[in-house]
This record gives sequence, structure tokens and C-alpha cells, in this order.
Amino acid sequence: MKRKLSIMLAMVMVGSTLLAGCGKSEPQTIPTTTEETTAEETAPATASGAQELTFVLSNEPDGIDPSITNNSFAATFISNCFEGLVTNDESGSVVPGSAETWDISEDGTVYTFHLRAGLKWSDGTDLTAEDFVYAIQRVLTPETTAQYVSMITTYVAGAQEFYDGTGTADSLGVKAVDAKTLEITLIQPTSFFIDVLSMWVYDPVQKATIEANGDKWTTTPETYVCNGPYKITEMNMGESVVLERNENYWDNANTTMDKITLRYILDTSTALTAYESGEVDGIRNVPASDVTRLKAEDAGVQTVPSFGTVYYLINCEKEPYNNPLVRKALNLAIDRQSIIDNVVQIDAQPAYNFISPGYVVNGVDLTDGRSDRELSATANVEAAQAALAEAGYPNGEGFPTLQLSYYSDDTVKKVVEALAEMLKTNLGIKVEITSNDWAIYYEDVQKGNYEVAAMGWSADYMHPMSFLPLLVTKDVSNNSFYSNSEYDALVKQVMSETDATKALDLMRQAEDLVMNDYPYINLYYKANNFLMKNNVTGFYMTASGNLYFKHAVKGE
Amino acid sequence: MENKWDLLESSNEDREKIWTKNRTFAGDVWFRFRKKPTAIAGFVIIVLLIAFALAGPLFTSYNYSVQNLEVVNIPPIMKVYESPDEKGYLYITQSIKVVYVEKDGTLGSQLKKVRDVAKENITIYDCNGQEVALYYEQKPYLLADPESKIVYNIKHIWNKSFILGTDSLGRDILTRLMYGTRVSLLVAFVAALVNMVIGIIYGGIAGYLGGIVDSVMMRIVDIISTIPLTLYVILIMVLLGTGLKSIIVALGSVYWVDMARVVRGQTLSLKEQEFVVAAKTIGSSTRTILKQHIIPNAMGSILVTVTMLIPSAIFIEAFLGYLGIGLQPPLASLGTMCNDATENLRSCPFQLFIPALAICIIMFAFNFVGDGLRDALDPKLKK
Repeated sequence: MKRKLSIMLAMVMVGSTLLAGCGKSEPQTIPTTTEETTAEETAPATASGAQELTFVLSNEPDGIDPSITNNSFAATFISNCFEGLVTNDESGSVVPGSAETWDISEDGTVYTFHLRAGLKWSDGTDLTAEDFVYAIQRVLTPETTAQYVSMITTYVAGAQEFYDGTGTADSLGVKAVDAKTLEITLIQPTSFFIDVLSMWVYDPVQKATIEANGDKWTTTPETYVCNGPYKITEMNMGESVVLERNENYWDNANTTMDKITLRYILDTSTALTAYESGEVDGIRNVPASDVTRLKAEDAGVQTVPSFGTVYYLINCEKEPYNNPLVRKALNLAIDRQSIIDNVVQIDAQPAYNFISPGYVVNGVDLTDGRSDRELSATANVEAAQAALAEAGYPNGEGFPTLQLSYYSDDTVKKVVEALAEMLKTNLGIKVEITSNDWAIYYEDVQKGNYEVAAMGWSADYMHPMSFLPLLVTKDVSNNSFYSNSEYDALVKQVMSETDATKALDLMRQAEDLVMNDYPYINLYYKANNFLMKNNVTGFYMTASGNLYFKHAVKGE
Repeated sequence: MENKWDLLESSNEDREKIWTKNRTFAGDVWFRFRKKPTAIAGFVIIVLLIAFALAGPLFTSYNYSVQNLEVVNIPPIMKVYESPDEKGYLYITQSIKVVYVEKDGTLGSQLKKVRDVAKENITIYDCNGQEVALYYEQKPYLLADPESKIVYNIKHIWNKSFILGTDSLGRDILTRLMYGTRVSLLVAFVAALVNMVIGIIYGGIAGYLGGIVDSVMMRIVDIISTIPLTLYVILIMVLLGTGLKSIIVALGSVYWVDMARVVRGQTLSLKEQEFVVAAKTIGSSTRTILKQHIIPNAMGSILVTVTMLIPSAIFIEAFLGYLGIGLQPPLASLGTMCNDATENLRSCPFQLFIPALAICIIMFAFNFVGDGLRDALDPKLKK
């Protein structure tokens, strides 16, 4: 009986501590130190102390071979250890990398790259145009199982034939004229080829180390020969990777950060604890529910607009979703602002179209003055119901149960639940939610085995052509099975248009054409959030999520 | 009998009389059961839980799926600031927005943001035409008058709109708790049912027939009990799709093995007893012997086993829900509620605490009742 009593007592005590907070407190005022501290923060950071950083990654990449992987988790390694012919600068625009200059032939199909003088691999051997040819040929060898192979075969002459085994190295449009000159021939003039070229699948790899070590060349620091600002000096399986300054990099003089330790902490809230205790200088993935708090505390939240969009696929082949009015009704019934503010809790722009802002030609953004497709940040219930009634389902009567699919993920789950409730209450239809693991889910989506499904797209390079094929009839990435021959023709035209301004115009027309048919439920334009201590400056992240450390400076 | 020390009359009637109070078996069990306070407490809690789960939803104005995205992650007890017009209160949410709270503790809507003064780490909100400033430079965040910088009076009040707060989609946790408890009790009911039906019949037959039949039947039980239940449920879900149906089918199809073992053991010892032999002699059928003689005599251990198996069934459901392989959203079970809350653990611990406490209470109640029943049914403890 005594033990029971003590349990009861403990319970009562817990209860009373819960209630104890209900007291009154003295009136207080805001301390007036605020202005002084903010003035200090704006002072530019100067380098002081050891130039060493610890940065946390939340996912281990499936591999760090630039020829093979397309995994975004590998981006931090590859963008710091390798440099292709061109690279990205702070503003995200494409600048010369290993190539100093390049010429484009009259008809726009032959690109001649002049490499910088004195390029070296991290092991000290010379880097020549032959290495670029070798790397591209390696990607085009089926045994390599390169995941980005289509980024070469679509554009480079003779590449598809080489990949299929019907072409030879002679017919492939990538040739080393001499040690310092590389020539790439395209299938047809492509105005955005330089943008495509910034992808890491075009990075050079060293023949010697690969022939000596085979696939294992990426698994030890000694054999991981690279040409970027950093080389790997330590690899601790599942724990950390250490990058150190590559003395043989051509621009080594301007590399400011000496050493970067990339640590793996798979649980984001554990990583956040390490960050807040000062153990690490930055983390790549921030728990969604803490972003607002960290932002308010000025704890170093870095938000980089990403060239990507979060949307929900609508199966355009299935009854009743083949009716554009039904798709319009679904689009109108969504309160995008509320999802962004209260569910995902991020700083993002609601999306009414699928190409995300960020692509600029002559100071004009593709998305400037774009139509909002009669959508607004909040739901327009009356218009949604009117559209549904026009489609033959007044008040949602007779509308079959909508299957809303998603892949197992905490944030996606919350969004799906919110969406389901909005569709239910605003349209009066029944919604059923189903979920699966990503692999199974993605297979179902590709087979068209869904009605409405969670999806998103991040561009691989800074050009809207990374988006447009998503809706081309029978394209492999067209998972909503939308088909419009007029649109297909326009996209073809964009591919061959060499004048950037004209291409911009064509892309606007093309997007205008499809978005009035609502093949997606566009939700918001993506942004990348990561954390970096306020005393670190000079690092930058591109819209495709590549983080560059070479110019980072750590201050007091 | 005035004097207790007097000799008794030695009539036959007196000699045969049973002098203790005469009670039926059930009455006897109840007598000993109610002597145990924990058992009674457990019993009362179960009755209350049933009422809470079945009748509770009639008294709330929400249901498990209704969302109010304006008021996500609001705790049961709110730290609020008195609004400048002193007609209500203001509450700062975890995502640093300001929600208006009426004087009586019911929630209004979010205040409109007027502008950001990033330089001073202030956001200005509009409260019924008056400006209030949210200072977020350091924790705790404060609401103050933008002119005089005087922090409004702080109070702690109960959330009257949502007594147990809201989850990350602005749904009422109390209502979801009722539906979650309903799922748990349904699982308890199913577990009890299959135990009482399949377990008893299977174990009874195996034990009574004995020999080769017993060996075969018990080896089947052995095989079933070696398959981990979690794995089995996942396999069933692949077949039938996720949802409560799969969990119930999975539990129902294998959860009777423990009971079968207990009943078989009891039957083995009971069938050698004289009254069974007597029944056999007068020509009773196997069915009658099992139904009339053996099972009623084994009822004590059966009841105890059932009450002990129910909480573990409830726990399995909650566990599967926590792993995310239970119910499909927006349906709620105690396990899925815990799962949803883990992501928010740092900012809103109450979301995990409340369903976890509910699981504890349910487990305690059933275990206490089981304990009490075991003591009450054990004839050796009879005084």
C-alpha cells in the first residue's frame, strides 16, 4: 500500500508542476540593447584563427564518382573536389572553370574549349584535354552505369550511337585537338549547352587511377584523384570525410578555407543539437519545425532559392482527371499560403506554374508577368466548386473517391493530410490517402498507377529546359501522362533556338499552353535551407543545391 | 445462542450445516476481487475509457480529421499576453505567429502581420487596429508595445477551445485521443474474442483427444508462435493493404496460440479427474464433456490469460502505429499520434506526452484487472 501511495504522490507532484506555471509576473520592458548589437553584426568578417570548418551532412551519398552518380547527397563532395570545363560563381551564373575560354562555331554546333595553362591533378600529374575525352567516353560506356548518361546523349553528336555500341570513338563528337584544346560537336545548335555543361557528369576523371583501382578508386583518399579546389585526405566510413586544400588546383592562391570536415549525422535533430552547442559550424538539413525559431534567433539560417518546384501529379489519362475542368477545380481548392505558413512552415513562394523563377535573360526573368492561371495564394472555393459543377459533378456528387498517394516522409505526410482535408471540405469529394516507400511509390507513379501523387522537381542545370520535357508526350519523365502536340512542337523549337531572347519567348508560350490545362497541382517553389554559423562567410550554394566552400572565410 | 461456549444441539441438520456464508462461485470471485483496490481502480478506469471512447466524440464539436491550420501546435496551457485593449489575450505560436485568444480562453485567429523591422528583430502585428510588436531577438519571445516597449502582462491560461491542445495540423488532440482509444479498445475486443473462441476450442480439442492429434495440433501452434508478429503484420499488409483491417486480421489469425497452450494444459490434467471419468461412464459425448465439465473448470486460468493478453495486443497496435505501418491518415490511433508528434518533440512535447500517457493508463488498467482476477480466481488464496 505504501508503494501505491508513493506512486499517487508522484503523479500529484507531476500534475502540480504542470500547473505551477500559472503565476503572475511583474511588468517588464524590452531591454534597449537591441540596436547596438545589430550594428556590430554588419561588420565584415575577417579571417582569424585556423581556417577549418566542420559541416554536417544528413545523408550519405550512394557514391562520389562524378561520372556515375546523380545523387544530390554527393553534391557537396563533387562540387568541391572536381571542376569541369565551366563552373558556377557566387551569383549562380556559369563561369570558366578548367577551360579559360571557348569559341562557338557559326552554326552553333561546334564548341572549342581552350584549357587553362598548367592544369594539374591532385597527385601532381598533368591534366589534359584527353582526360575530358576519357571521362565522357567512360560515361557513355554502359558498364559504367552512369545515371546522368542522358545529359550527354541528348546533346552530343554520336553519343547515343557510342552508348548503343553502333558508333566508335571517331564518330563521337568529343575530341582532343591537342593537349590544351577540346572540341565538342552537338547534334543540333543548343543555346543552353553551356548550362548543361556545368553538370558534374561532364567533369574529368583520371584514367590512371581508374585503370589501376577500378570501381574502388573513390573509396580511399589516396586513389581519389581530383582536380578541384579540395582533395580528400581522410575517409571514415559512415562517420566523416576530411577535405583539404589541393595545392595543385590552378586557383589555389584564392582558396581561403584550408580544411573542411564533413561529418555524417543522420538524425537532423541530433545534428541541430550539435550545431547549437557549437560543436559544428554548419548543417545541411534543418528540421522543418525549427526553421522559424532559428531564423528569429538569427542562428545562421541560409535560405537559397532553389530552381525547383513542389507539385502534385494528376494522372491526365484516368477518368475523371482527364477533364481539365476537374484538374482546375482541384487546383482552385488548395490554400497554398496556409500550407506554406502553417504546415511546412518555410519561407516559400506559392506556385501557380511549374517553372520556378530564377532563369534570367538580359535582366528579364522567364517568370516576369506570368499569368496566375486564375489561382490565388488562398483557396477560391466558389470558383473551384463552379469548375467541378461545370465538369458534371455539382457539389462533388458522383465524383469517385480520390486516391491521394505519397511517399513515406514526415513533411510530405503532413502536406498530404492538409491537402486531403482541403479537397474534402472545399469540393465535397471523398479522399483516400495511401502511402508507400519511395522505391515502390516511384515505380507506381511511373506506371501511372495513381490518381493524384506527391512529387517535385529540382532542375539539374539553370535552364528551364530542365523542366519543359516533363510534359512532353511520351517523355520518360512525363509521369502525369499529359499530351499536347502543339506543346511538343514548341519544346522542339526551343531546343534548336540559338537566340536566348527568342527561346525565352517560346518557353513562355509553351508553359502558357500547358499550364492552362492544369496538369499538376503546383504548390510552391522550393528553397534550400541550411545552417552556417554567422562568423563564416564567402561560401555559396547554387540553385541546383551545390555548395562551394573554396572562398569561405571563418572569422571570430 | 446467548453463550457462544454452550454445547450445540447435535441434530443432523446442525451437523450438516455449512456455517460460513454461502456464496456462488462468481460471488466468491467478486468478493475477493473487490478487496483489491488496484483491481477495482483498473476496472473503473476501463469502464471510464469505454465511455470516453464511445460517448466522448458526441460532446466535442470536432472530429478526428477536421483541421484548423490557423491554430497549429497550440498547447493545453498557454502563456499569453494581455492585448492592448485588454479585451483578450495574445499567444505566440511555435512558428512565431501571434494568435488572438478571447478572455474566456477560446482561440481566435492569427493576427495580421503589418511589417517586419528586421533591424531591431521586431515584427509588428495588427491587433484590432492597434499595433503590437513581437520581439524575437532572444528567448523567450516577448510581445510589447512598439512605442513604450513595455511588455504586456503575462498570464498562463487554459486553452478552452482545445482542452488538450492541437497537433501539427490544427486538429483537436482530445478528439483524436477518443478515436485513438476507440481503436485500442477495438483491438482489445478482437484479441479477447479470438482468444475466447479459437484458443479455447483449439486447446480443448488438442488436450482432450491427446496422442497424435495433440502432437500435430501443438506443433502447428509452435510454428505459428515462432513467426514474429511484427513481420507477420507487415506481410499481411502487403496482401490486404495498410489499415486497421490488416492489423485486426493479423492479430485475429495468430493471437490465440498462448490461450490454446493454456487450455490444453488445463484439459490434460482435468480429463484424468473422476468427474470426467464419471461423465464418460454415463455416455456423455466429447462435446458435452468439454463444454459442461472441462472448460468451466478451466475458466479461472482462461480469464486470467485473456486479461493478460489484452494489454499486449493493445501495445502491439500502438507500436505498429508508431512505426508508421498501422492506420492510414487521417485516422488516429494512439501509436500514430505518438509518431506524428516525434518530429515536433523539441517545440511541442505535449503532443507526444498526451497519447503516451493514454497508452500507459490503458495498459495499467488492464494489467491491474488481470492481476486482481488472478488472485481472486486462485482457490489456493481462498481464506
